[in-house]
Amino acid sequence: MSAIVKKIPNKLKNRHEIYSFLEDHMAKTYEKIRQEGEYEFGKNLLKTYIIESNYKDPFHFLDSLNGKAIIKWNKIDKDSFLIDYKKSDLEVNFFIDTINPRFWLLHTISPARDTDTVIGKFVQPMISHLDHLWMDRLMLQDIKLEHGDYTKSIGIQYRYGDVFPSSDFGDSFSLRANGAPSDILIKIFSQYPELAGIFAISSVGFKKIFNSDVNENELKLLIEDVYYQGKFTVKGTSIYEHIDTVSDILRKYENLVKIIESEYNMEYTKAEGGFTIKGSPLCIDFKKRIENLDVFVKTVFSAKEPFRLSGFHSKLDSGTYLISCLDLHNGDDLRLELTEDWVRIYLPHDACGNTTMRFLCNLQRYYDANASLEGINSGRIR
Amino acid sequence: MVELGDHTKLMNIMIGLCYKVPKWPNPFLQKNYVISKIELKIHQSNPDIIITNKKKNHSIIFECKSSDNLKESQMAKYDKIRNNPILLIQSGKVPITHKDQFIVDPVYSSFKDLSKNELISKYNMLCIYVKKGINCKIDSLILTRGVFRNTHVNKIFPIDTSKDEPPYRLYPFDENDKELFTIEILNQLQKFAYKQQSFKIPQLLEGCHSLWKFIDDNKKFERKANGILHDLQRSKLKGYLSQDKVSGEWSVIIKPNVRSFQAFQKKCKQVIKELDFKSYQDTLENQD
Repeated sequence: MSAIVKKIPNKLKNRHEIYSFLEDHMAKTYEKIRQEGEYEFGKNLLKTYIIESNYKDPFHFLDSLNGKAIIKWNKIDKDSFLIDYKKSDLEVNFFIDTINPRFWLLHTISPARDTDTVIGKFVQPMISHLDHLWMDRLMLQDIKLEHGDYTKSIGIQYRYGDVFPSSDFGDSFSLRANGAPSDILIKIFSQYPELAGIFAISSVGFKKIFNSDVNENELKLLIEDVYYQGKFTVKGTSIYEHIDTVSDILRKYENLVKIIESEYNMEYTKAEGGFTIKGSPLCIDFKKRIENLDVFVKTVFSAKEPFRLSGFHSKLDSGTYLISCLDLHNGDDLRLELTEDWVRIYLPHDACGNTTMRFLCNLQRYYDANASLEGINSGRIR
Repeated sequence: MVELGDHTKLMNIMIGLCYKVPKWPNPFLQKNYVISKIELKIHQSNPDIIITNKKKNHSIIFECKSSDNLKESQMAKYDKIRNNPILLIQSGKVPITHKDQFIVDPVYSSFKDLSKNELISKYNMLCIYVKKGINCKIDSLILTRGVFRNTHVNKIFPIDTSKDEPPYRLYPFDENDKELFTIEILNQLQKFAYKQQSFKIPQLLEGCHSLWKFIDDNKKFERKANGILHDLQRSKLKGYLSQDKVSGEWSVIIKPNVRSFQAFQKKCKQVIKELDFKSYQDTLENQD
């Protein structure tokens, strides 16, 4: 027998009612965990996904799902709607908030395995006009430091062996730690160079208390798990504090994306007596030297997952590789120069800042967790 | 190994000195020089790059020489411009503030030290020697002959580049860099297919070559691109590439899924690998 599908009821008429329902759900799951150490079977945690959208109108997104799944939707207000998604045995629903037209928030209490799958179905297809967030290792560490009073968990996924030719099982590494030792683990991984190179953080969990001067029953708190692709799972007492946390993280991410687009997208424009070049190339520095550039290039620019960069390369007599490629996630065309120690990226004038973040995140996850992004105007960016 | 022409390399090296690029110095930019023009059309000279410091009323003409085969007529023209810089202003090529105080210094830059060349001596030209080190890396740029009349510029030499790598994508190729030209075209074909857009050659070139629209003599690129497209349509990309006979617009059809793009990429890689540059060059030259 399949688990009971939990959903946000369609009878809810406005944001306030939906948030009240979600807060109630959050509080109940938290209370159950607090009292019994685990949450109730079938009672799923509240999850929020952030998705980058290139749709001018969110209803075009709903139209795009026609014929792929059974979709029912209710407009809640001019910027939000509830959707029920059904395909075969997948049945989930989301409250979609598009108040930020570029970055949508999708809240759900449906089972995580199913919602992860459906989000993948939304984002993964070519020309989907949607993308995940791509939070790199430093950003996740910063989130934990800025928002958490206590570290609750840490996830590491270094997957070199999944992508690059390798005969050694040790070339991939994953770890998920819950509880107080998470902080100690972070220190250990940062201190040892052998571990730092595989320290590709995939998630951080933290606890945040808003009123520590009251007794335990009146505590207002959040326990958030933040995943690098913009997924949040939350337990706690206040939906508004959760939304504030998500919004703050999103604001910083959006600023970063905008800095990339405004300062590093390259545009050649006519000017008095000639032309000017706005923007400048970005550079990703590797701490792990690329020993075989040929294999690296053939792997990364093969159009395959996870990079999905379809590229053509040529090698100069100095050993530098020149690469021209198309990002099959969104159709951005990039020009790169690759050496053993760094890759210089020339972004076109209309490139999406998320493209650079995706490339950096994937390089950290699949090649060098220490890879860092630099720009001549800003120094180290990530 | 790609045979990126020395001229293209030198163009990038010199443009890079005036522009913000990580891992490459920009001493001319630091002295407030900006690029005014590239590949100018001026009778008998056609300078490659002109950079200008407007406040100092000073322009530098970079002539990028891939060989030591120097033309006297060109040098004489540069000498004439140096002695009468108003010629450059009259042609509308540079913005300056005081035309009476305007100074122009022409410089020959090359991978060879041209300082002992007879013509260079005769016309008293400045020379920048782009010195290669081991593994064909650029070791340094040395002013081997002459002085700039904005004396601040002389202080930037020699420029140590031994730990740096020139940017090669600012001026991605010239019309003779067949392999890179073709690669850029193939990449743009993917892009047009992805966006499901048809295109004309100027649109294709805008995507292929960031500076194309600023090159005075850019028709030569159009002719070459046209030749490459027809060649691809006839042979390796038959079935993918088509041209509307009425509008002249080109289109590329690839199904919108990763597997189809992988198949297209494979086909294109075959094009690059199997390209017979000798006969290809002949085909292209016939377009001129």
